[in-house]
Amino acid sequence: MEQILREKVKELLKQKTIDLFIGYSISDPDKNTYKPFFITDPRQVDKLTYNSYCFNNLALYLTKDELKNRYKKIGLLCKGCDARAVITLCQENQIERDSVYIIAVTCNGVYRDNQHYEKISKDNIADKCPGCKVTNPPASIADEIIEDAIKDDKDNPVNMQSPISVWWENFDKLPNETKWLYFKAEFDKCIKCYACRQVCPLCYCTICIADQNLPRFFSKSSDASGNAAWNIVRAYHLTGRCIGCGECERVCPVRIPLMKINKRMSQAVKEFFDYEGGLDKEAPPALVTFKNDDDENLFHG
Amino acid sequence: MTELFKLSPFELNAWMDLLIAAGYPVFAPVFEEGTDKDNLYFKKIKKWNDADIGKLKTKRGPKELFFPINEDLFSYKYNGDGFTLEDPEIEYEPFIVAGLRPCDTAGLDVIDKLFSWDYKDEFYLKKREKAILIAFTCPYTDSSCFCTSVLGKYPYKDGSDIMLTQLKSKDYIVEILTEKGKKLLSHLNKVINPASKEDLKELKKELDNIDKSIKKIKIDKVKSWLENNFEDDYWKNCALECLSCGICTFVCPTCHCFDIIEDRNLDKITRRRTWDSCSFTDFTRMKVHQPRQEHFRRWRQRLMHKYYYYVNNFEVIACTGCGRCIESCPVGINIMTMLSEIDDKGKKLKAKA
Ligand code: SF4
Ligand code: SF4
Ligand code: SF4
Ligand code: SF4
Ligand code: SF4
Repeated sequence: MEQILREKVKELLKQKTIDLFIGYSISDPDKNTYKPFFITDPRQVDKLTYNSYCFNNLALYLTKDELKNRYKKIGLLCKGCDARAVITLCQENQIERDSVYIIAVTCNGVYRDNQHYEKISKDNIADKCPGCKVTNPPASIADEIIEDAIKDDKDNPVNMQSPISVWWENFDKLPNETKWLYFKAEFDKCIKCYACRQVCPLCYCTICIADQNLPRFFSKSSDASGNAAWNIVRAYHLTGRCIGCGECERVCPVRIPLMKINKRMSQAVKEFFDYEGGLDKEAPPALVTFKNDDDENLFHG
Repeated sequence: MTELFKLSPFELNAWMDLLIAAGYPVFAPVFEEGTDKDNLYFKKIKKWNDADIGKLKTKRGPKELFFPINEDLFSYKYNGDGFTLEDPEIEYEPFIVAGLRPCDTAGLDVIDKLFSWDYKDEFYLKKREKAILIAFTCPYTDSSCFCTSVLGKYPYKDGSDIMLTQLKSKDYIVEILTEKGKKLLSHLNKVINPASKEDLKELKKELDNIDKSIKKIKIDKVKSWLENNFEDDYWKNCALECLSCGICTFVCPTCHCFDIIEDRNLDKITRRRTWDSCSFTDFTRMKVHQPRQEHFRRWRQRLMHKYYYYVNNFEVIACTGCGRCIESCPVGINIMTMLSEIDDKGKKLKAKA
């Protein structure tokens, strides 16, 4: 797979189809970590690599002005969930489809951490992966798809039930007060480093509400009320948009279980509006669409 | 002063528990609970057994014990025809921080310079004055450590009151480095064995081994290159992947930027300082203007501050080579690689001249 990828990227750069390719390279061999890798020179393609430790969602770079102004056409390596982010960015008119070149890969899930594993299993797969709908990335968004066999059988961990949904099935039965206390305790830990926002491909606002100071909507200090406000506002801003790449939770230095929130919000949008973000480039996003028969129970709680 | 003693793990345990019993608040690395369970933080412990000194580094270093993420400076209330001011109630009492690594104490030495510069920051300095620091040399080292390249031969001792090293035999060699440290020893009310010649040989061997296991990079040309190359094209291409989050600065034991803000709770308004980060897009954007719009300018600031401006002001590098920023960066940006690149550039320049 790596070899095919390298050849493709080399061609694309040589032909000047793209000016920049964003993929992955090894970061620290001792710690088995991989990082985003920017490549403009076809002679460097041998540093490109891809495997199930390549966690980053590279779609986030597509909206960065500094890159947009510098490179006319950007090539990007996408797993299915990353491709969903690209679709959402198109839906929301943040990027022109023609300004990007997407090489998508089929995916059997990624690992949950950087320990050395032999192959993906239910014990080492990232929580976001089981139940994934885009192991075969949507063809509508990909310029090319590099295929690796996806095993369709039930034993493939990527086809299992999402552990986060299972967690919610039980948690949802608890009284609201208890649920709130759980998340409040989690939010208390937040240090307002804003990494969750910075890493999110869909948090592209030029000035985030958290940074506005005329007026200030909530405190800059990471005290309990400010933290909860920040985390709740962010959850709302991503409702119906989050495509579940799990990056926010992965980078959070105090490991707040942000995916639990995202997943539950997505589930609600699915229930009420029968909509899931980032699957169809032409679909109007749920929260900017009004339909006469929209279910209003959502607002009654 | 240096006095050297030997303690068995059992005696160490007893000594620490005696200190806790004597009323000293003792802070040590402990694992967080719940979702964050793999990370260590300095927290107050009830008994020494709760501390975990086997894992190399805490997530954030000890600076937050002295310079908390949020710190109330004062508060005020409207009382009908004017304002009443209230100072925060803080009692400054002696406390112990145990389980620091040399790079941790070095970090505190760095921040001391700033907080005792033109303005003497009492919130910070009073806590510093009361603190007694017990460092443990590193049980192993990892690929992000480069302390010796910045601080010199392992271990950096200046910041500690006491330093412990575990020998192969599991016994500890205790180096008493200051008067403050010596006072703590008196709590162990029994005769303690001074370290023998043999022990000292073992100690040296142990420390040499640690020294050898730490990655060495060359940084001696870094400052001179930074001084002369503010506008170099290097910056425009450096750290393109950076997300401008605040992780690297928040976990850094030397980063000390803060903002002063007011939080309001009903009729009470509290002025507090809260951590800030030069990598944030809104850093220093008071009303209208952030002078470092593009992200490369913010990254340049980070390196310049650490390896040039701070050195000019205080004759010390504002980085201790602890490698925390490397470990925590979500996109794998490595300050060690950048320093090596810059040092190379510095060398080439020299060669040309
Ligand atoms: S909120 Fe988190 S999971 Fe959702 S798109 Fe953003 S980074 Fe990905
Ligand atoms: S990444 Fe985690 S700690 Fe940082 S702002 Fe987001 S929730 Fe808070
Ligand atoms: S932690 Fe990494 S991505 Fe975040 S600001 Fe620092 S260098 Fe940039
Ligand atoms: S800059 Fe990085 S290596 Fe240097 S002291 Fe800060 S966290 Fe440690
Ligand atoms: S940087 Fe040096 S002092 Fe710090 S943990 Fe690593 S080896 Fe120990």
